[in-house]
Amino acid sequence: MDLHIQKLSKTFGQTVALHPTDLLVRSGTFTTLLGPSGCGKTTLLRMIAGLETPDTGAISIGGDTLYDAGRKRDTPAHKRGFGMVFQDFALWPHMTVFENVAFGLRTACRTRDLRENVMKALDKVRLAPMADRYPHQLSGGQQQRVAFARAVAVQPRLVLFDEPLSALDASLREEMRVEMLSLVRDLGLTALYVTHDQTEAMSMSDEIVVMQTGRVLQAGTPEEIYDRPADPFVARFIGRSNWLAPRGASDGQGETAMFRPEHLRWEPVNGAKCASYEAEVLQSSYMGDRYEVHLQADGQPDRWTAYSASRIPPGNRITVYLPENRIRVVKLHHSN
Amino acid sequence: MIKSLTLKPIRGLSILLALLVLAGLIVVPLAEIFIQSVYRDGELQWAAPFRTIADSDSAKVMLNTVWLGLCVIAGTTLLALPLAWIMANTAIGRSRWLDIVLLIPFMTPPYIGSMGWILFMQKNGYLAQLLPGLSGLTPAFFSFAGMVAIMSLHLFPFLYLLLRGALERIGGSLEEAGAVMGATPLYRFRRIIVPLLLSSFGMGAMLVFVKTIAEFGTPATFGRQIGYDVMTSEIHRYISSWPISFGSATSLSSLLLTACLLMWYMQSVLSRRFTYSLVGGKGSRRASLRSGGPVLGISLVFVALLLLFSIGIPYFSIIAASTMKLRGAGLSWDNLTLDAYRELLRWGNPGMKALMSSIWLSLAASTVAVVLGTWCALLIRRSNTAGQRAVDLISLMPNTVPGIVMVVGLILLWNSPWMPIPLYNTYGMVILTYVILFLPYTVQYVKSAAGQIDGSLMQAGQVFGGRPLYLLRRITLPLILPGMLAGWMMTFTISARELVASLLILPPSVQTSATFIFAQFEQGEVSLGMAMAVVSVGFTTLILIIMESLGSRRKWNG
Repeated sequence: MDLHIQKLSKTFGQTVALHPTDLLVRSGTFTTLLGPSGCGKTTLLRMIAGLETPDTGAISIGGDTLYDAGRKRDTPAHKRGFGMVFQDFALWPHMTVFENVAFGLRTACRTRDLRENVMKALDKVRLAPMADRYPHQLSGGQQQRVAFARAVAVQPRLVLFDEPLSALDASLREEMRVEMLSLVRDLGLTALYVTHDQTEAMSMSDEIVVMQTGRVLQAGTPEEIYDRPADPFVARFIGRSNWLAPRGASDGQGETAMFRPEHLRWEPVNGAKCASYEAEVLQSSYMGDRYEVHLQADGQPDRWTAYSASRIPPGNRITVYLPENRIRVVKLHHSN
Repeated sequence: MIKSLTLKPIRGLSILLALLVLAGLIVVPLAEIFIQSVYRDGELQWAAPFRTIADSDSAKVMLNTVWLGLCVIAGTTLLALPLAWIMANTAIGRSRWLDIVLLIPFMTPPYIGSMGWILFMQKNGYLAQLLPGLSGLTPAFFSFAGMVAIMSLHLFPFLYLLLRGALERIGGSLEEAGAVMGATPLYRFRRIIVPLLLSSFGMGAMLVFVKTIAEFGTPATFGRQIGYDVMTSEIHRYISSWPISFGSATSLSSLLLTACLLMWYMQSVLSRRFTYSLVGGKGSRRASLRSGGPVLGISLVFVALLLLFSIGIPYFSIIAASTMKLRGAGLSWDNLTLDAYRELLRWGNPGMKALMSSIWLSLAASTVAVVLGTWCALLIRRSNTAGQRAVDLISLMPNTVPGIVMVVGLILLWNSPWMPIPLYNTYGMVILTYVILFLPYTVQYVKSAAGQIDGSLMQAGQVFGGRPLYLLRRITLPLILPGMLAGWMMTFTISARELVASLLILPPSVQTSATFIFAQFEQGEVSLGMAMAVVSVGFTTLILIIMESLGSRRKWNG
């Protein structure tokens, strides 16, 4: 049951939250909407959940049309049968952990084996002993896991994640990321995940959809997105990028070129055609596993970053080499 | 969304219905006051209210009222400002029970407090018996100054709470930031504390002023004894004792109403313009303690004296008077008896009847008020539309309008010859009046409880398949229940002690505890009246305590 989104758009007053957008989430995959705040990713997610009404377009899942502006179809949120993990968890404070998880099963009148099903979901997140506690008696990570158990207890067609890790502190976030991903994989869920954290997106997703100012800039596997960014914004937002001077004045037809820091070498690479640049070392920062070196190459407008195994003192002049097959030409969009 | 498509018209209709109900209950009676004050002898006389006012007596009454309001502001400031400083800056402020105790004066019905003071200070009163040397104070106390003192001792908690809140928030990091930036204490006081405190003080002072000019209990008891007439007591006189003059009553009422609405409007403008949001998301740290030494000693004395005057003396007098065997015999152990209570609580006694009618009338009123108030509060939500804002404004209006004015309006409306519903002079009218007077409590409590329900809780319910009604039952209602209980309890407590509506609206030959106390104090057995005062304050306080302890046992709020 794939989720199809066609020409979906939304405007709040004067501001366009989402330009007409197409999107496909394949059954059983983990898809991430990635972008800075205000890029429209949360709006898109909430429209899929049925919490916002789109202006135009259509949403369907496995042949079942949930929303169609043209045919005036709109399934209300409570009939869509999705699970959702909210940013602030949204656990009902007056219900126990058990009742929170049981809620979706009760509304669907699936009360046969209710206790068993709820405990199964809680077991998955290792919270079965906490079933009778109230949300405020749990730690942040435990609340997060209850929210997750609640979302999957109903065996939803699709689980929506609205920046679920942003309310946790950094070390817990790392831990929950691994745990949540393995649960999603174990249960074979279809997941749509919204985040502004590129590490989360890169490490968890089968497919990443990068968004900015209400548009999808690029969709692809994490490798594609990192290796072949289709847009300067994507290149800058995901991973680090070094930018080359536009080659020749006539070449300025809205094109620019970049490469990743790890591809800048200190000596020529055998069997690859390399461009060489004279550069001055500005700064060398020790990161533990390597040195991060900031360079100013002659004739280049932007500073570059490169990685080195040993310290290079600032002020040194050196020659650096860049394999030409590592250079990516990126088209400038008119909108930018 | 289909949900919103189907719900929107229902919600719109619901708001319309609420507006109609509220208009009928609250706006029309108030409008009736204005209409009646210009519509005399079957014709429109725009000058009529001004003629009434120009009447030398009325002008004097108005001046009296304003002067009283200003003096009470000064009086409450003298009490509240030092107290706020003490509670914010010394170790005394750490005791939680003091916070609760300081609410007692304001929870005491003003007429009962005044009676306590009268009993204490009158000729051969308890002061003269305890400290005969001070009996010379009596004539000095039965004066305007005494009235200001009684009212200030009743109203200071309002100002204190506002000032203390402001001082605590300023005293922490805001003042420290000033110190780090190199400001001397004097400069910090001038540039940081005063501007930030001033807005809170302004709000508090206006609140005290409105409460003072709207108050009926003290003018009706103490004010009458010293012959100091204010607008509320004058309105009461015009409609309850011969010669009855509804024209004068409505003129004065419309004037009082205008004054209160004006003050309320000024206050809301001021608060919008000059209030700084001092409440940060981070819990503000308290200022470091200035404990020990003479400051603490003086503070302790101040707090002890304040408690003595605002709580100790009135309650001592009431209890002493209720346990007195022979009135003339004075304070002594062998003059102590519980006869008054036995007499009062005997079945069939007028006192017991009055108490019972008070209880069932208040029960009915609080139940109706909770239903109506919850409905309004849920409609208001975050007051996004004009309709919601109107419901908000009107349902909270009885809080701004002086009780006696509201009651006059209700009498004019329900007693008018064209009124088809024969509610006037029945118990229904009393219940309706209580409901209208105390509706704002439920609306406020439920609104704040509902406001704390984060939007995502409802959205989570929607995503997990809850229909609107199911969400109302499983999520909204359980979460606003504490607010509803608080509203119910407040309405019950306050209606059970309500004086002005009971005096003017009760059907003939029916009494409530308040009118019973009032009547017995005026002409009858003081000990019986005071026993009733103790009983009515006692059982309402008991209910407050029970409800409070029930509320704190809520499992999910620990």
